[in-house]
Amino acid sequence: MEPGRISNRQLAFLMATVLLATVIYFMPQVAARAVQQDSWITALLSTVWAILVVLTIIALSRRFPGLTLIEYLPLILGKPLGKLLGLFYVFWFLGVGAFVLRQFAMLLNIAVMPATPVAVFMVTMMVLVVYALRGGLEVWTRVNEILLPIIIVALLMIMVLPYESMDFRRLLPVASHPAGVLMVSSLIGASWRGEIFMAAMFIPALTSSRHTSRNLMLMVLIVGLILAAMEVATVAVFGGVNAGELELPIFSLARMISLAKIFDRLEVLIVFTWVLGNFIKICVFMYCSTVGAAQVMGFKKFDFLFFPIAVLMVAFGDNFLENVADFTDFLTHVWGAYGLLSFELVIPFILLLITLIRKPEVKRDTR
Amino acid sequence: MKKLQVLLLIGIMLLTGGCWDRTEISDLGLIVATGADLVKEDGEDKVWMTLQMANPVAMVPGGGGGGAGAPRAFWTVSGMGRSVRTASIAVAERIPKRLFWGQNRVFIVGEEAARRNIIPFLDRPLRGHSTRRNTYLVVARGTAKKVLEVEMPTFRASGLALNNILELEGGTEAIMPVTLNDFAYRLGSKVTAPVAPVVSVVPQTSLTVEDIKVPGGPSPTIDISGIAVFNPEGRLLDFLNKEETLGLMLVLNKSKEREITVACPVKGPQEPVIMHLVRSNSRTVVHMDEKGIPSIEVKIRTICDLWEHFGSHPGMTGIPYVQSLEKRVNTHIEKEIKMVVSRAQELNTDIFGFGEEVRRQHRDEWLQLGNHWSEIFPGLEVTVSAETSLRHRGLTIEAPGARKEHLL
Repeated sequence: MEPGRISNRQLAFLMATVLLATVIYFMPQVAARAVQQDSWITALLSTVWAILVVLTIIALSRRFPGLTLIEYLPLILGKPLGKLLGLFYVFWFLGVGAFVLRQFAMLLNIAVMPATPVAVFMVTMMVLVVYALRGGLEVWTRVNEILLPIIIVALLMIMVLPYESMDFRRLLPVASHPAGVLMVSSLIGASWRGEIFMAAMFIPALTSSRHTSRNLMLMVLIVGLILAAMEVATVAVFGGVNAGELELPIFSLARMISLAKIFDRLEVLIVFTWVLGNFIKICVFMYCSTVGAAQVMGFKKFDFLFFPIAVLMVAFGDNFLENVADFTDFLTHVWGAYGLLSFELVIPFILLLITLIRKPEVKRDTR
Repeated sequence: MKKLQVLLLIGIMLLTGGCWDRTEISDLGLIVATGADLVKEDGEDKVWMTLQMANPVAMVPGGGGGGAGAPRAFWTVSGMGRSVRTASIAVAERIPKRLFWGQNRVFIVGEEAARRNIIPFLDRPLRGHSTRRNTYLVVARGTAKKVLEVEMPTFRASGLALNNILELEGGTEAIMPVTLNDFAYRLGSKVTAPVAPVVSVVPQTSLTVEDIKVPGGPSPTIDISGIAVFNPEGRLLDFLNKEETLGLMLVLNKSKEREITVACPVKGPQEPVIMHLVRSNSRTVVHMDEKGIPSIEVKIRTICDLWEHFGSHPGMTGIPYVQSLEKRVNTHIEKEIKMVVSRAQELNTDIFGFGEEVRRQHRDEWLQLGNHWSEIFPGLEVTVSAETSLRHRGLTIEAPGARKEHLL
């Protein structure tokens, strides 16, 4: 179905952007509120979960070469059930994509442009995304190769430059929370990291399948390290308790930068990462929902779905989770179950078990 | 079609070329310092906000400057309301500018407001997205309004002067800058008592040309001295004097540069020797005895230079004076810290973060101790051990003419 071909590195970069783009919003706040100065440990623990996700997805893809997640679902579960679950997955892509879009718009609203309606951010972003997607998979994955280094450099600057306000003794005592509490709070972080399961929609488009799992695991690990470093910086600057009281800890971190009175007000760095990272992230969600929808319905092409799905995504984004308290509540109480514990890890894992037991007939992709 | 595209492009260029939300700098009320006070009006508590603003028009060289009737570079307005925000927006009705908070450097809280409870006053500056967490927090003796209304002949805005004192001289002598972020951290810890520097209005000690011309005599100026001590619930308890502040700064590692006056090894206290602290590093070690009672050991290592010998006798030659001076500095530091520790224990506020150190170093015991910290702290045994090394003695050895030997 997808005419474009991407390399292993491009896929890894793409997934890295997806993972980095949104964890840096509310994640440090949610983690710090749960386990204060130990939030960086949960960031590392989440990596374990995400590596499980990668292993599951790769194992499934090995069994069904040339097929996407949505395509092999009916082969595993039978046509009616498989199509139904496929539809659920499409709605997951659509729903979480809309969530990301709304979150992006809301953050720009909180932080930079309070007077602009959220719809403006959402519609302009969506126009850009549809434009990029029409250029084809190869085009926007290549754009991502340029954007990702910018995002990472900006993030590194944000966590290093406020060094004047840091006091690393604020991280002590290390691991003062019970292991169970750390594990539970790592599930929320892992739900973000688990978004790497979307790689299952891209694996058929890879030029070669060598090193795919290694690359993806490496990305999960690197993102985990970046996030842990972020949490360390946040706690060192604000303290564990206060980091949990900040709406956007990383944004506040960027605002603490004041170097020699010249490097001041560098929160524009954060806006860089938001706009660039979310552009790619929404591209990925849009792509997955469009391709997924086309495959569930059995269409041969998917380009014509861009417009209706973009409209749906904006409409969804505009209508659910009205305020920021809803958001953090959703992230704290629902997201872990909605992400990792169902669509990202548990369902794929059950699928893998079923394939191992039933060994369904693998239909070779002849296209 | 091509023409249509070109027209469309030109249209877009016309629309996006400008800056839609532009604001001329002269239209902004650039706030450089804010003061918050608590006042009673008709039996009701009201917040009285004083904003010190810069006037960019007057700052253009040649545009403002001297002469009567010239626009002033800074002016102060105040408004009243039920909260910090309502009181500060109340001034909008009286000034022809848009309030701009991005350059606010100092937040002053009046004594009365601090005594009642400082926390409500801090919500807005921490929540607002145009104010910064690294704004300096200062407590005023009396009202914050009075501090901001001081007109300094040399440095027209007292708020900016305050900022400069804290920024350029922070860590010098007893000037200990505290940002909103530091203060909020201590409040969040629930054990470590928050502190903030104190500013007061004092008479000018030396007159400038402008002052002599004013018939009212010397104008007042501002002075930073001492530290306001709060309890963990955010209520101002008392002020520390300069010596106590110096001790506190040593424990907290905030001393960057200061003088330590000790007696001359030869002639005693009437010929003081001034030691200049170059570097100091303090470490708090928590010891637990068998009964689970904590005691604190503060270890301080300092490096000093000899900067002045205010006397006319020799005595700075030879190795023994080095050891003798080092010992004197150690005693001085130990005495200073013991003094502030006993003062804090009297007030029962843990301004040093000893409680947090117990938590960091003995987490399991802290689970019990933490709930009773306010009962433990006043009786806490604190020992201080200072270790000083004298580095050098400047460019001369003895005071001029101090040597007794006659020329041959």
